[in-house]
Amino acid sequence: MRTLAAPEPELAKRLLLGVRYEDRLRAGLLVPPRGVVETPVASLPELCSLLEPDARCLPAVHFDTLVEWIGGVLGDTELAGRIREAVREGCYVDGCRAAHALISERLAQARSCAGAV
Amino acid sequence: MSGFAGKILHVDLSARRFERIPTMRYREYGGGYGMGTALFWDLCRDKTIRDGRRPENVCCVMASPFSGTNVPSAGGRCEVSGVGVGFYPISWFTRSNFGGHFAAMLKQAGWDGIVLTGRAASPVWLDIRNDRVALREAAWLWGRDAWDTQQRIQERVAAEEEATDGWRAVPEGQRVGLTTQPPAVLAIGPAGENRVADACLVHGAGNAAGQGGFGAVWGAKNLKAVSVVGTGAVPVADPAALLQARFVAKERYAADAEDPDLHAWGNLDRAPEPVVFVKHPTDERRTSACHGCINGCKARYAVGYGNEVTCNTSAWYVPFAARHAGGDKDKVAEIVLRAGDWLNRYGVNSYGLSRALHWLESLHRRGLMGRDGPIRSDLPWEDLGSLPFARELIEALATRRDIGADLADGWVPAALGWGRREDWEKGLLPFPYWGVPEHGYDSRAELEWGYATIVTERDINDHGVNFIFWDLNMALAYGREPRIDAATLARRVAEKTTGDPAGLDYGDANMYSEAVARLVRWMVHYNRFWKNSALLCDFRWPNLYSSRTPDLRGATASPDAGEQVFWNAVAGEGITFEQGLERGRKILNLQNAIWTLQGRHRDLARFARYVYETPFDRFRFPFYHWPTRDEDGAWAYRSVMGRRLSEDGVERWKTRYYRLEGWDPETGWPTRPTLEALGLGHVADELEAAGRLGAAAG
Repeated sequence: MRTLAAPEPELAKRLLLGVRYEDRLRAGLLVPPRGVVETPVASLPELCSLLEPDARCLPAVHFDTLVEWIGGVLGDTELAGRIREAVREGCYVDGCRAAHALISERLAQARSCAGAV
Repeated sequence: MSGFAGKILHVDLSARRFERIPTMRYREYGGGYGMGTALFWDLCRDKTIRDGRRPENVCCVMASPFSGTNVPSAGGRCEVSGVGVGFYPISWFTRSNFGGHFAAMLKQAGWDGIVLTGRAASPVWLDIRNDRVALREAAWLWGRDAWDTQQRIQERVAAEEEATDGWRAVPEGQRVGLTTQPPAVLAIGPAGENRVADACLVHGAGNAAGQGGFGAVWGAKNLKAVSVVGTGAVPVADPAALLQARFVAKERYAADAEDPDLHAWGNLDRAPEPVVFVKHPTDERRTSACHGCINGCKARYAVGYGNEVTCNTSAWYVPFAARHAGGDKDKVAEIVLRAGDWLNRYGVNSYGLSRALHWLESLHRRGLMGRDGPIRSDLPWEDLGSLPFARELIEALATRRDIGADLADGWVPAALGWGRREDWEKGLLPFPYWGVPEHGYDSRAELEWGYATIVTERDINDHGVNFIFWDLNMALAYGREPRIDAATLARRVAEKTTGDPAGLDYGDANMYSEAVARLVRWMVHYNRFWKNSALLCDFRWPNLYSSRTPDLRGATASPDAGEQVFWNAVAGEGITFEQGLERGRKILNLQNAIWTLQGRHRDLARFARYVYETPFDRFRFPFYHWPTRDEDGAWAYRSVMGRRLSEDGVERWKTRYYRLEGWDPETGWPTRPTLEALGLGHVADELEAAGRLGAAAG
């Protein structure tokens, strides 16, 4: 799998710090048998946690919305594009796993970048 | 009189008097909500009360014949009923229940239930030791949390009993009974003492009767706790038949514990697993189950926190803790589980919070709530998501401090008082019916949940049909073929319910149909008797279909392990499954009579505005599939997202439902012919005297 290009410090900071309240990604958790729990997301660490595979609950997120949010609101067009490609094939959970893998990679890069700065 | 202990304890708190009510008088109601409803009807002197904190309220804590037995997922439930607190526009006569061991111990002490009337002049706790009962002074307990209260009562009782080598002597008539068990205690925390709408009754670490505000009911009655220790046993009519049915349930329908099918369809065959929505804080844990349960949906941990923090109590704070912890799942788990502990200690229901905390945050973010906002709050909102904030918020709610003062009468009343009607009507405060929170299933997509709620009195919280959503949508999410195709599933469910598969068609063209009304009617009747009176656990019953059996049929109503098989084995009756449903219909009619006297009219049975005006697109989740038919009648699973309910359609649906029940479609009130046919002619008389008897069909 191709690796993501290292992010600029400004982008890394934005990914880690998150966005304004009104710009958060509307998402949720699907937890049986409780139902859908609203779980808005403001930053990449939160998104990574939401999408992490978990046998007990599923992330509730629409991939188109996710890609738009990462590209538009977070401003990470490369990550958005790679996720768009990655979720094209397979089932919903496969898509979540693929998105999670990419976001994990980007998160590690952002943390490394922020640490270096 | 098998299954039953034979007597019900009536406690007149005002007069400090006790009365034994023969259970036989109420036997046909089964137990639980049914018996509680009939007792309320007979003992409540003013059925027009609209606030459960009034001293006229009659609160029942009822077991059932199944309590204390090994009927699978039924032996540990205990039902609470009475007029509730915090609903909108009227706090209806309602119910809640909790698990654990209280109901079993109550039966072992020789009681089928407790009826609480009046109001004590000062704080008391009710001390039950077999047939010896006493109201004891509780000033020394007042102000203590629900855990501390339970522990101190257990210590007090232990200190008063003779004990040898771990065995305690308990009076048992003229003899002495022996037990190793401490008393089971049901208590209120500070929230109940302060009579706030979200106050719970708490038993053990995390078994709570949350919905309905019964903690506030007890607080208003000055009742801090009930403790019970029993040394008897539950008489079972046919133990061999009970064991045989349990073996069949295990072998034929339930999950194979050694080799569970993790993708099974059905609820009885679901693999046992704690219902906890955060990472377990340690591998050093064990399962905690209610009496006689085959499941074990709670967990206890060696870390010493989060014990029995289950289901919504482990979910409501996750989004906020996740943000605060930057997505660190270990930290999230600790914050959420410890916050759950605080809820259980203060005795606060988590359901309102799970829907309303996002709204409270938005009020703060919009500058409408805070130190300088029009809604004054000194809580540290900038710290939302932390454990200290959770504790401070819970304490404020429990003690009427800060915003807790306004929220003490309910969430929707508070929103209206704050001038935020618009937030409620637009769904920012998603409380779609009766001023109570949406459970997690939106009425625009999941028809049966919303409909069953508006024709009754509270969030129906009935997963019997709802398991279809989970089985199907989890399969789709994981890319698995559905275990049961749509047409077969509709047929199997129809066989167990109304006989008409069309009731399972959740498509747009069928949303307001009589077939859906019939399905909801079946569901409500089942709910009233088998679930909330016989006290079969909602997590496992009804079992309408099963991928474990070759013919895909579930245990419900089956001749080998159906509900009636267990009932007849325990209670020694010979009823059919359908006769149980008919008892549920009678209970529902009696409840509707109470709601009618309280002020119910069909015009009140409406959803919040957003359900009619805004399409359902819950967080862009890509699918929300249900069985549907196309124009040619062909069945398929299709998404029902993106739609809203039409107000006119819902009104037409209600008319169909009321006609099916034999109620007056103009008002929704019970009618004399329907009541008399159920043996409730005296109820018709009282409604007529109050000018609230429905007009019979001409």
